[in-house]
Amino acid sequence: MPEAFHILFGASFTALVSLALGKLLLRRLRLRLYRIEEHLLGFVAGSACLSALVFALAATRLVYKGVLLATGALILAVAVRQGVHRGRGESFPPLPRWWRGMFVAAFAVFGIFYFFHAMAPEMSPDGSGYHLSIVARHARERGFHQITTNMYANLSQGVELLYLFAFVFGRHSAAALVHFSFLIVLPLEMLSYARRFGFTKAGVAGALFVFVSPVVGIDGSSAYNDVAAATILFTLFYLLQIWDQARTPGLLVAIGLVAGFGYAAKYTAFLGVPYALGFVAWKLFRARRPLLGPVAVVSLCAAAMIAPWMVKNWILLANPVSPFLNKVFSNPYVHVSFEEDYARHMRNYEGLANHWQIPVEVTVRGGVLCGLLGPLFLLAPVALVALRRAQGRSLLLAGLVFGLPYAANIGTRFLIPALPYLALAMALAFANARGCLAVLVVAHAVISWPSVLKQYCAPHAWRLDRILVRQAFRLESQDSWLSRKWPPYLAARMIEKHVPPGGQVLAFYGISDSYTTRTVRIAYQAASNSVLGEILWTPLIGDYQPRHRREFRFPTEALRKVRVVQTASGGPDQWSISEFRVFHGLNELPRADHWRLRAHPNPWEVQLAFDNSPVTRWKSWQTLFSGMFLEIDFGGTQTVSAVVLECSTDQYKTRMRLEAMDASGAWKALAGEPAASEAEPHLRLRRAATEEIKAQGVGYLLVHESDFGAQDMLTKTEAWGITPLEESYGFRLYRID
Amino acid sequence: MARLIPVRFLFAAVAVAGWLAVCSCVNIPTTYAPPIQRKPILGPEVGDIGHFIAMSDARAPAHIVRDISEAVEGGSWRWTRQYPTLRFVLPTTKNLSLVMDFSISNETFVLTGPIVISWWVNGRLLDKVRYDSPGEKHFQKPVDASWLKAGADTVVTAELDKVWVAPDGAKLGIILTRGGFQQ
Repeated sequence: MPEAFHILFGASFTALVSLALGKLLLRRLRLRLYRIEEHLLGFVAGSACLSALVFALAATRLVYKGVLLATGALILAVAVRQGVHRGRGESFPPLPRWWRGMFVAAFAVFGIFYFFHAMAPEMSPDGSGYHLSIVARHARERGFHQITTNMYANLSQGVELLYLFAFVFGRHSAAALVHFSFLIVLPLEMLSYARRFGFTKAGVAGALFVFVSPVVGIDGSSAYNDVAAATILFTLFYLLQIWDQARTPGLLVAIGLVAGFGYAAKYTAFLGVPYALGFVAWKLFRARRPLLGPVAVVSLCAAAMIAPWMVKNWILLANPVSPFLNKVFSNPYVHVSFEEDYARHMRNYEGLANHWQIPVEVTVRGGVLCGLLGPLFLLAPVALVALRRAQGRSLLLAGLVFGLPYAANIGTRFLIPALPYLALAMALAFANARGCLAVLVVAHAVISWPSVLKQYCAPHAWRLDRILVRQAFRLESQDSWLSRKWPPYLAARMIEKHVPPGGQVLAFYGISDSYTTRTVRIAYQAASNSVLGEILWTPLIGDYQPRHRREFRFPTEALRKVRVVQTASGGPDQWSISEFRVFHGLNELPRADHWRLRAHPNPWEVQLAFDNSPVTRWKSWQTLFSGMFLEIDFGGTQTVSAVVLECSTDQYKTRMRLEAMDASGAWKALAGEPAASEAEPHLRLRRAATEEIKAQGVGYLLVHESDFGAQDMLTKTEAWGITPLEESYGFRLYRID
Repeated sequence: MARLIPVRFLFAAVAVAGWLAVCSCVNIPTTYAPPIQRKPILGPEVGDIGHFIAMSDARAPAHIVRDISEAVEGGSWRWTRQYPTLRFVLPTTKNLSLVMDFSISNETFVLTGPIVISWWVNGRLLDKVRYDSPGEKHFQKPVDASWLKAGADTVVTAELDKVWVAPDGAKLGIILTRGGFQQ
């Protein structure tokens, strides 16, 4: 039970401080809002402020429990002293009794269900993985550090910083409960918005359409951030609608902050900024009022929330929008090819035969696209009927804009930001059909309840399946529950047990690494991890091995620089060179310390072509283009008569030319296409691979039985030079000897 | 706007951001010196080497150290020269015997007469056997555990006192079929 107390304290303290900050801000801006709006909009605006405050603490590495406690207590004290806990605004007229009853019943039943899930030990794939592993690392290291081995650490983490505030007190479940607080706020905001604009019944229905939706429930009660992003965007929409009604200047500050907080919460919510700017500009233009001042206020306030994340990434990772746009902001931390593959993968989930399956998949099945909205949303086209009303048009436009990122990731949860608008528009469409809304709400609630849901959804659809009261209050311990139900947790604990502090583990399969303090380097999550992954695979994949020898021979000459240039273009091939050797006669020139090596693109891995290792290679990590090169600057003149390249065989289109700078400093072509021959196969590559990985600081391998090469490692431990330490649920941990 | 956001706050924010950007930007070099040179390990994969091998096995070349033909004859055996040497990796060292199945060719025996084979394990003489007739032979003798090391190379050499030398200089010793360690 003390654990439950810490969890509840962490989450409620975070929510209260957010609320206090928000109400202080709204009061400072002298906004006239309804009482419930002060709470709801204040909570989200305050979350933006608290997130920015935690950013500052993390940037200065002051994330200590005492500092957070004192900061939060001070904010609460100021809020109480200023009397913000006493609402000033008017209340809405009461809801019709029947509608009120229905809303309270559904909200309470599903809300309690979600609450217990959020409070139970965190076992969502991404929540217990990267979302909270990065939060946990910030907590351990008292703030931000340069993390180059996990590209998820480069995403904006505005909501995760709120999790950090709670995590320090109550760890994983406290963080999930913070997300749960956004889940609670969203339907209340939707209802409040509908009450303000005069369609209360549709508001009740729309709010419940969203709240009981299965994917919203599991996402919002896990340490994800989609529901938080949706709440932030809806808050922005709501504030804009109020501004359109009241034109209070202070609202523009709140609008800017919340729009910027959208970007800070999730890159895909960046559309809140152009939406807000466009909305304000368009309304002022139509009213023939000056644009510049209000647009500037919104822009500056949004920039204040966005800039810290961009500057952080720029400083630490040389890319303000890492892990994206790596072609524009080239950097050593994320490969261009990874970004392209990732984007392709997100647009085409494995198991989806074609995009015509998406409607049924996201509403009824939920197995391939990870979750379902509920069959109710098969009626989504009906929402178009709402176009008849001004509010309907506003809702559908916002839904369209905030739904645009879905094209980039077709997972069901990426529809959540657009869902509130769609749901309200659907409810508006049915508003005049007597009894229809109530029937739809009840039907949606019934068929979204876990015991009914499992009758029709895909067996492995991401969804809540039971009420976890014992687990929430830790009557069954976290360790016991997760050990029984969540193999990635066992993998994390296995690592914690066997790997010493500071040790690093290479893995191909994501685990719940928030439950270990050791660094787990998932192969696809960073450029340096991908290199290690390929090194490990080189002994097993003949095409990765340097079996092609390309020799440029030319009359002996004194040269200052020599470079091999790629002359072919186009995919899917990437260029790679395992070894770049320079000869004088039959003797290879030893690589001197004063040589300088350069490559384009990917200059940061050029040494891999000069390390004499058959398991490493420099690779372009992007498809061929004419002008790629590898270059040696001899630091003076060097007599040279041949260049030999050892290359892997997984590149068919490559064409090369040798260029050199002579003693006079002039560049010239030395030789065209090289003579091709087969290189002698290298032996004992397995050992070479593990030795190389160990030399790069990784002393352990976590291999899942479904990983490529798992069987080979199991049966040839001696050849690999590895010792199995423990096995659990298909995960096997090896130490590199 | 100035009323909503104090100007001095804006100046301070810009100054802090600028200072951070100038002082803290990650400095990533784009040219590099040659790195530490790796020394690739030569020889076949340890994992391909077992405690017993048939000459027809695809893994046989990995076991051959010297003086055994690369070519498999009749799908099952190989000619040796004077010092056929094999290596093995043993999972254990206890209760092991060295076992060798081989033949002495009628044709070479006519020319060489009886031959003496000295059986060496890790440089220690295990036995010296005289073979007075051609045909199939089987050698088996326990090996002291202290001579062996589990998981490491164990080298076995059959030293022939004489071989048949062909007119073209080729040397032919015995016909090896299989060999290794058995319990």
